Amino acid sequence: MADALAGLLDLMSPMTLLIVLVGTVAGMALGAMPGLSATMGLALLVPFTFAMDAGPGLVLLGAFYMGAIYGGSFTAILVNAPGTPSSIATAFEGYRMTKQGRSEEAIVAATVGSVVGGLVGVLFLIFLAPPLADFSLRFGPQEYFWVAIFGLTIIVGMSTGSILKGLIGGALGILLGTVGISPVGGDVRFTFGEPTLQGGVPLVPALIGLFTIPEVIKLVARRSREFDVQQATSDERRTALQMALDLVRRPVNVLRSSVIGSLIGILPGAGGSVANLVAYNEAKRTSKNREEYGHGSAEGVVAAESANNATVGGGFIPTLTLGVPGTPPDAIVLGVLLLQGLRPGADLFTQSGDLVYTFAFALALSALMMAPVGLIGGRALQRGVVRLPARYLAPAIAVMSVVGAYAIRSSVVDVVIMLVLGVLAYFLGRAGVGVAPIVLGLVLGPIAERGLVQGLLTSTDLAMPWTSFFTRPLSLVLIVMTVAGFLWPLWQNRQRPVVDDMVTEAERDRE
Amino acid sequence: MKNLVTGGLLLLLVTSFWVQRAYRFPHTHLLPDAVMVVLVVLSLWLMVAGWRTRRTEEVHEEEALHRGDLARAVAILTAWVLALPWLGFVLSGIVFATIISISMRDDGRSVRKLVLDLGVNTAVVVVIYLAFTQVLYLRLPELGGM
Repeated sequence: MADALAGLLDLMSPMTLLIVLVGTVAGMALGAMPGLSATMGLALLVPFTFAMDAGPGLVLLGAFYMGAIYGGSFTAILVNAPGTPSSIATAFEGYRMTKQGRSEEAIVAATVGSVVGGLVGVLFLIFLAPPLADFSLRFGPQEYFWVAIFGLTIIVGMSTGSILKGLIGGALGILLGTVGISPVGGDVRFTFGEPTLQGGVPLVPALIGLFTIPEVIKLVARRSREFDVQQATSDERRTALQMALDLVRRPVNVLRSSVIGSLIGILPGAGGSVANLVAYNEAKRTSKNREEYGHGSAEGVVAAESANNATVGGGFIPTLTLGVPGTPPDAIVLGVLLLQGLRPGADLFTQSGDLVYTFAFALALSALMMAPVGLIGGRALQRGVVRLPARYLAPAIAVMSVVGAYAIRSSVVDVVIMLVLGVLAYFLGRAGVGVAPIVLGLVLGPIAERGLVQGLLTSTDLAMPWTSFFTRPLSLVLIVMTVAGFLWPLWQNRQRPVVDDMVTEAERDRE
Repeated sequence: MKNLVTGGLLLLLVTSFWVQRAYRFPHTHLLPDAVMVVLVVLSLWLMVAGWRTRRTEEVHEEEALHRGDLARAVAILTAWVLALPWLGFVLSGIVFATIISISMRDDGRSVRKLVLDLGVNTAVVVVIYLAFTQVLYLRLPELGGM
């Protein structure tokens, strides 16, 4: 309770409030740019946090993340460019509303959904994270090994195209994570004779390279961005406030979707891509106006947006308590956390509890700020960022990437690593191997290895030390969760034709 | 075809790691060796899949990019990074950011446009340099090496 109060007081400082506002607006601006993802924006933001204390740095990232997810709804509604799978349902209904001259209503629906979803996700974070962190004290090396393996099952969930290629990406990430001095024992491995690689592949330059360089290459090679904004007219007579009140008067849809998003966000790998579709399908299944779905339903937009914003808070629960990032943006926040010398888990909550609460409250405040910022300035922001010429955007992103990779260790080698990984990520992307599995392998590989080696070393009294990984009750629970985590996305993939149909129809709309 | 090439390159990568194996501490070989074996199996699987579907070309969004444009993008970025230690952050940033802007123009080139691109990129690079060195107190590469 004292930590929560201290966190609230920290949030109330003028500087923190300013950081939340700046982070939210900047996130919205980036999210509203067709083709640029929240993850890439977060990677570019990392160097700004180097000179900040842990609290303001995390607050900036959290507010930016929340704003970027919301900003993505503008792209989905006005440009019909889902960009990421987490906005498929928003684009599906929202763009049809835009074509009917109801873009204002769609944006209000997205705003209401995003604000409520964001707040509900934060509530889950505040109330579920501390007990889970306490519970993690019971974890030994064996459990941490299984937690990392459980996290790696995310790869199956993230494999939007081919599971084989997702697994290849994950294995490649783990292999890159073994470069340098081993986490236990101190063996120097796979450095190719380069002394600067003894510290391993640096996480932040790697993240910047993997997420931003492929985008820069595409922008430079393509010479322009892919989409144009739909010029929509609005014949709506209601004010934005009236539209928002109409939606809030039917709270079941938005609350149910927010809870769905929060719960799915907690599951590693599921994230917004699954949450928006599950919430949308649930809203459609239970709606009294089912016939409106597929023809521009505001309820559908509310369901999708509340679910994907709720995954922000939900996703931070495993990140902050177990060090297992649920999604790539969570991995970037985790990287900054480690960079600041903070370790996820019970220690984070006992020694820096106020910081965790400041972060959570900042997410909530960011969600609240989205309403006025989005409704008053959202359209103007969208028009402004879309007009920004790609020939100035691409070099600006490249300049920021160089700064981010270099500044952490003042090393040009880090910039080279960033570029090499970025170019590699681009060409792997062309072959269908996504970046997200590589990142997860890179982050979780060392956690899994530390658990594996320490677990074996602490079980030497057993005739077969490896059996300790299969006989501890908590390990067994985690094994069951891992198996379920592996099988669940496979089962989900069976429903992919429904998603593919939606994407195909949405693309037909654009034409 | 793409799968075949990717699988082959992955096998080369794993080989480059495998020849460096030199473990002294107990159990530190377990994860790297296991991952290398898994990656070899997956790469072979990918190659087999690629062989079976070699006549049906996979379509990805990046297909629309021409090889020349791709080579241009990668070459500029590589040159930028190589020049960074010698030209420093500001000069290399201005030069290569401007080259990128000019190379992205598809509406013809003129001195006026060159000056505009140079001006915008100079402003962006200098503002970022000042923000990081004077406000956030981070070091960035200086002209003539560090």
